[in-house]
Amino acid sequence: MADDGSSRSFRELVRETSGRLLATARLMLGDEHEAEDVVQTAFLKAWERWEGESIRNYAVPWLYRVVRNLSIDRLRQRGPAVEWSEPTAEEPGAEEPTPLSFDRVREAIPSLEEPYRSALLLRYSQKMPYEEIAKTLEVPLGTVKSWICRGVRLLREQFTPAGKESS
Amino acid sequence: MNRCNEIREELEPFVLRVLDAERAALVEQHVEECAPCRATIRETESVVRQLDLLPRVHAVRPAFLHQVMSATVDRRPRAHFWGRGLRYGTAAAAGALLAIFVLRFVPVRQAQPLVTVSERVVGVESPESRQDRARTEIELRFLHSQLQASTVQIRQFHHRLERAHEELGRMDNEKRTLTLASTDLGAKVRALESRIAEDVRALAQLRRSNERLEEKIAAYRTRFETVFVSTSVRDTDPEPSTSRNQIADLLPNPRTLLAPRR
Repeated sequence: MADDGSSRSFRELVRETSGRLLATARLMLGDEHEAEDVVQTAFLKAWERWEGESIRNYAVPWLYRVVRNLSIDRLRQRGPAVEWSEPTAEEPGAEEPTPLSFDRVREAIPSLEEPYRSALLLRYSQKMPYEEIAKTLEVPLGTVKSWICRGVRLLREQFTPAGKESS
Repeated sequence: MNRCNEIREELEPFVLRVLDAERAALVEQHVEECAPCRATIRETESVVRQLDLLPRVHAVRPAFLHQVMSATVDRRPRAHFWGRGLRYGTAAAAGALLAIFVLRFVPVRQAQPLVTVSERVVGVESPESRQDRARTEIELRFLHSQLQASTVQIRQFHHRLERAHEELGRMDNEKRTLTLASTDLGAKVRALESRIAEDVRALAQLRRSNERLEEKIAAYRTRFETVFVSTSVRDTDPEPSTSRNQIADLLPNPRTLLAPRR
């Protein structure tokens, strides 16, 4: 049975983290409704463990991990990722680099491979320091840096054919 | 080229500043003289700039928060519920409890004549029972008024929250527009800087060329003086066949030489 203190702390957690978790899930899945489902499921799981397993001390990284895992499950259920639509040979300027814009980067994120996608989102959307990302994803610091560099390279290669050639 | 292959692997770490100082210095040195690697760095920086614009927070719908609370903390029975008063977040649960009260008591009030449990047993409503009923009705009316007040408050709160979300969305859009404008402006400034640098280089080249021309003119002048003096000394004819002006005509015009070449 949850006492008033634990209910209050859980409410605070939901209010403080739901916006950030929704942003992460939305960017991972590219769909608002699915993002809400995933975050709600994560909160339900957290509430089930709020008393017994006492995840209170590390609730935020725990929630990010659960949201990430649930989002990956959803993406797997969707099947193979949609390929990035490169300009075809008939299109004029097919050899020209794809113009880079914020919207195109955001749209390209769900098609990125794991774990690069999660690492990039925690770094650039959630503005987490490398150490915090390492703690959240439970991997060494060097691995996080390597994942982020690789993720940036994969994105660059999607947008700039020249970048693909040079790497 | 081999150097390029080696350095390429370190271009992203260089841009993201996760490279140690020694390696970073090597990359920097290489990039200064390698145009393809410089281009890759510019592209990587551009991707990172766009990534930096990703939103940190997504607008939370009040209905979503309500769903989460209903499925978690508001699902459990709570002790001393009314003692803590109504709050925005728990008002829905309060409504549910009140609905149960209303469903339980309204049929009793609608029955004509009013029959209580004690009347069914003894046929006459006892004074205590009547007092209880009156007290319950007063409590019920009080709870109703509280519910109405908190419903109004909830509605106001929702309106405020929606307005705040709209404002947040507008601010996000403005921020994005400003950031994009700033990125464009940065690109323009960089283009201008590169044009200035090119102009400065061209100017330096022109100066060097002018210096060389001035040296040539000085050499011509010396030669001219020598030719003129030797011609004057050698000529004994009172009407010399070659005058000083005629010799000068053979030399290139210094103004022509100093004019900037296209």
